[in-house]
Formats: sequence, C-alpha cells, structure tokens
Amino acid sequence: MSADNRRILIIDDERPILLTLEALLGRHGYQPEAAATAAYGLRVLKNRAPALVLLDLQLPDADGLQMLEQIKTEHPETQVIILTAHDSLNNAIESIKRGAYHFISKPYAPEELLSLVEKALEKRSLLRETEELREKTQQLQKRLEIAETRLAPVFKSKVMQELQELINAMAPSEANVLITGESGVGKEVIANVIHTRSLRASKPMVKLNCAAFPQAMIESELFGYVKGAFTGAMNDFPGMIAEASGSTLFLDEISEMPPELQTRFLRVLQEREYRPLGSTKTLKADFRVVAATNRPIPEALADNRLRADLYYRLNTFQIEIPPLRERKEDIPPLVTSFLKRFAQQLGKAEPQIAPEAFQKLLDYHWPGNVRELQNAMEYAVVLSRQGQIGVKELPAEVQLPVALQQAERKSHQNGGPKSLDDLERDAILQALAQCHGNKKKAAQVLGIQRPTLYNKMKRYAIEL
Amino acid sequence: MPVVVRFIRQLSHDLRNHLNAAELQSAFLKEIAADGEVKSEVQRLRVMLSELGTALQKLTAALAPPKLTQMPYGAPVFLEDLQQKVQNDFGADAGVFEWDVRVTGGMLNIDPQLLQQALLELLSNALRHERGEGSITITADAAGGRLLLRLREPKQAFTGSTEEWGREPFKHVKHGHYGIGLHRARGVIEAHGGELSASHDAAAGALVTTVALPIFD
Repeated sequence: MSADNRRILIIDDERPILLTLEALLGRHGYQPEAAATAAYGLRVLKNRAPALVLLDLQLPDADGLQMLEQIKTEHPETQVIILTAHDSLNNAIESIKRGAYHFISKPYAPEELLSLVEKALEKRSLLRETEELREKTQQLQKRLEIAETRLAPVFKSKVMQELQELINAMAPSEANVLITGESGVGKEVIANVIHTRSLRASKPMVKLNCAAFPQAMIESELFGYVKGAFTGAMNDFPGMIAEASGSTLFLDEISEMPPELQTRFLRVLQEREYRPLGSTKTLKADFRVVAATNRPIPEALADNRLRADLYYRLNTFQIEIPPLRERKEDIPPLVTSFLKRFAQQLGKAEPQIAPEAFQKLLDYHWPGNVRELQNAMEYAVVLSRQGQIGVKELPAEVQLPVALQQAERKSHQNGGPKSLDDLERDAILQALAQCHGNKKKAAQVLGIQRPTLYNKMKRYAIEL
Repeated sequence: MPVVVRFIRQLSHDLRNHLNAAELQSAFLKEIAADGEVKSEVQRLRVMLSELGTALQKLTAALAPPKLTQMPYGAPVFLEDLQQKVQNDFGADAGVFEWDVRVTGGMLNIDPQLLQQALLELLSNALRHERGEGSITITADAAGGRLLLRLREPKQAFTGSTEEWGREPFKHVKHGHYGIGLHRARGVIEAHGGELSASHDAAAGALVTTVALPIFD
C-alpha cells in the first residue's frame, strides 16, 4: 500500500470523537487529519487528497449527505465511511446509495472501525489497480492496433490478391522462399505474413539484415561462436541459426552476404547441420528460410552478388512484389491504414484527405514505394490542421504537377540522342520542376523572358 | 458473572447477524414492491429491525471490556465538551442541569470519547430515574491530584445501598432497561485509574455521585 493510501481525513464536529479517532488511527500507522467543519474538510480534501474520509452526517456548516455527494463527485477515488449517531437505517442506506463505502454507528468499537478502514482502503487500492490495468490494457490494445496496422499488408490490387493466394497456399509448407522487389515495397512485411501463417508461427521470426552488418560479422551473427573462437569472443554466442530453431530465419538483402558465406550457408540448407565458429560440435539446424533482395535477380546473378546454387535453393517459391506505381488500387487502403496509425501515435483525430490531395497521392510515381507513402502520410498527419489534409500538407515532391514529376524522373534517367525540340521541352520541364512550378523563376533559370516561356509551354503542350 | 456476560454478548452478536439478514431482506422487498402502501409498510418494518439491531449493538458494546485510546486532554476542555454534548443530546432537558465548574487547568490522560459516554450515562440516569424537585447540579473541582465531579440529584428518600454502586450488572432490570449502563460507566472510569462512588445525603435530600479522575499539571 502506498504512503498516500494511508491518509485519512476525519470530519466531525465533536472534539472528543475527532481527537480519539485521530489518536486511534495514528497509532495504527495511518496518517489522520482532523477537520471540525465541512469547509475545512473540503480544503483538506483538495490539498491533501486523502484515501479515505470518515464523515459525520451531522455537521454544523453542511448537510452530511450532501457533503458525501460532493466528495464522491469531486474525488471519486476517495472512499467514505459514514459516522453516524443517528443510526437509522434510512441514513445508512441513503449514504451507501450516494457512494459511501460503509457506515458505522457512534459509539463505534475501535476494532470494528479499524477493520472497516482497512477494508475501505483495500477497496480503493483494488479500484486503483483495476483502473491502472484498464489503462494499460487500452494502451496495449492501441499499440497492438498500431502494430497490426503496421504489419498488415494490403492485398487490394489484382496482382497483390494473386500474391496473397500464393502465400496462403505455400505459407504452411516448409518450402524456402525468395522475395524480390524494389526497396520499400514491403518485403519484410510479406516475410512476416508467411511466418505468421506457417506452422512455425508459435515462435518469433528471426531477422538478419545482411546489409546492416560488416561482412566479417555476418558469419558470427549467423552461425554463432564459442568463447575464445576469435579475439573478443568473451562468451558463447548461439547465433541466428540457433535462435531460429523451430521458427523462420528471414535473411534480408541476401545478395549482400559475402559469396564464400553464401556457400557455407547453402551447405547448411542442404545438410541441415552447422557448426558455430570455434566449435568442434555439429549442431542440427531446424529453420525455414525466407530471403529477400531488392536487386533484380538476373543482375545479381550476373554480378556474382548472388550465387546461382544458393539462388536455386532459395527459389522454391519466388514472390515478386510489384512497385506501388504498378498497383495504384492499393494506395487508398494503404493511405487509410497509415492515417489511422499515425493519428493514433500522435494522439490526433484521424484526419480527412481533401480530394485534390488524394489525387496527388494517386498521381505520384512513388519511387520509394510503400515506405515513401508511409513517410508522406506521417508528414501529412503531423502537419494536418483541423482534421484536414490538403495538398499543402503533402511533401513537396508529391505536390508537383504530373508533367513536372515526369520531367524530374527523366532528368535522372540516361537517354539516347534527342531532337532539339525534345531537349528544349525537357529543359523547360526541368526548370519548372526545379522551381516547383514557379514560372517567373523558371524563366530566370532558363535565361528567357516570361512571355517566351509561356509561348514555349504552349508550343510543347506543357500544362501545369 | 463473566460467564453470563460472555453468553449474553455471544447471543447478542448472533441475533444481530440474523437481524442484519432480515434488514437486507426487507430492503430487497422494498425495492421490488410495486405498491406504494406495501413499500411504506416494508419501510416501517425495516426501521423496527434497525432499532432492534441498534439495541443489541449497544448491549454488546456495553458488555465489552473497555478498550481505551488514551491521550492527554485538557481538563477544562473536556468539561466544556461534556457541557456542549449535554446541550446537544438532551435537548430541553439540558436545562435541568446546573453546572459549577471550578477547574481552570490541568491535564487528563483519557479516552475522551469513552469517558464522555460514561459521564453522559450517569447524567442520563440522574435525569431518568425518580428524582425530587429542583435542578441536578454538577460540580467540578481539582484537588489533591484528582478531578472531582460531583453529581447531586434531589432525592428525599433513598432506600437502596450505594456500597456496590455500579459493580454488578443487571441489578435493576425492567422494560427497556438492563442495568448495564452504570456498570459500564464504572468500568470505563476505573480503566482510567478513577473511582466512582455514591452516597445519600439525607440532610440535604440528595443522592451524590462522585467521579474522581487523576489529573496532572
């Protein structure tokens, strides 16, 4: 029981009772405070927030039952025991109806009073614990909702629906899976879905990002080591393969794994055995592998970044997640899900997206795929005002007119020889993109007058 | 006698439990009764049960050995509180009492609530029992390390003995009276290291009850 939970306020105008109660409670480890009037009692209640009030129903400056009502309204957590010389059932029942914990008739027996006090404080403690647990449950529920939103992929478009069917069919198997797709398409999310729908879902999936570790460290992270295996190996470390026993091992950016380690890992996949660094013991490997890469497979094979034999071993099922620009039907549900999640995180009401802003989201190319959309939505929710997201609340690159977006993309791409007209059109579009559609500035960048720019825009059918 | 007291306390406790159950049942009946008259009758029943319970509670409390929560308490303050309580509790009858308090200092080591109840019992007895014409006077003095409270009630003829005053419970039992109040008062006073005595002053035609309590500077 916390210290503040032992603070008891006694409100009674009879001095002998007030002082006896104060002494009795003080001697039993409580922190009593005496008030001879209702007005003083209310001040103490406000300033000291006692856990329990012993309240006389007959006070010189207030009606006891009204006082009880006031206490329960303003301090609902505070328990109240009624002290009454008027031990009529009416008063007692009325006081219980108005929220008193119990009542006791004067003259009270000390042991009876102390037992009631202890029970009332216990009740308050339990109520408080219940309230805290309720709050924690709500917080956890919120977090769970956020986590679910974060992890739930969207299978709205036809291509994603087909992909979902494939996942549903192969997830319960033990087959290895290779997930490919551009950066930000959600490869890890899909790996999670495969794991949670697999027979190994009871244990958490183990993740190793091969691009996140120095090459020398990947081997020890993956296979583990025994104490003294190398300088700095102060203790045994079981490694990711051991940790993934009975579960799924997700190897992200597999093409970043050093080729010689790929060979060693391939052997583990074939023989289902491995040996930690510095150990003479061979251990059983019991994991399912799901690997991912954002490099196009032919390119990775040609560059020897991905060993062909490992590729064929991993490629029992290959899942290619298309970029977001090729499945725009997924944008609306993704936007809804991100808005909900970020609004919850920021404690805001879920904002509405203005139609023109929504159109911008649909028009944008999303080179960073779902991850970029997610970032854009977080940005928009942060900036949203009065529950609205307009065009201005979107990132600058999303706000650009479609023509300028295309121009910007072209500027990043290498092309073959072009006609002078094409070159001029591209130069105008690039200048406009660079100046975020500001024609005056674009004309200055191009070194021409504004009317000339207008004429050329008309000639090349450039509309903003 | 202790065996009888224990028996009565246990019986009283058990009866109170039954009464509590009956009170709860009547409360439930009142809640479910649709007819106004039935409601009102059940309410009356509840009040009766409540009074029974209260009477038994008082009986149990009176027969229990006093457990004191003692504290230093100013003697004048205690007497002032007592007068105030008499004013509040006795209503119009409070005017029958004449106070002569000559105590201006000194401390008592008392359970103020229990001691006040014990003295109120003595005052209530004086008021209730047959008494002659005139006021009941209460004199308070401090002398020889004792606070002396003298209660003088007009009583021309007194045939009883005052030797064992309040030592035996159940001495005078009649309707609504069980002869335990005085016994309880003596128990409380003695638990404070005090004394209770009574004598009949035939010349003055008064029964004088004296309470002596230790007083400190």
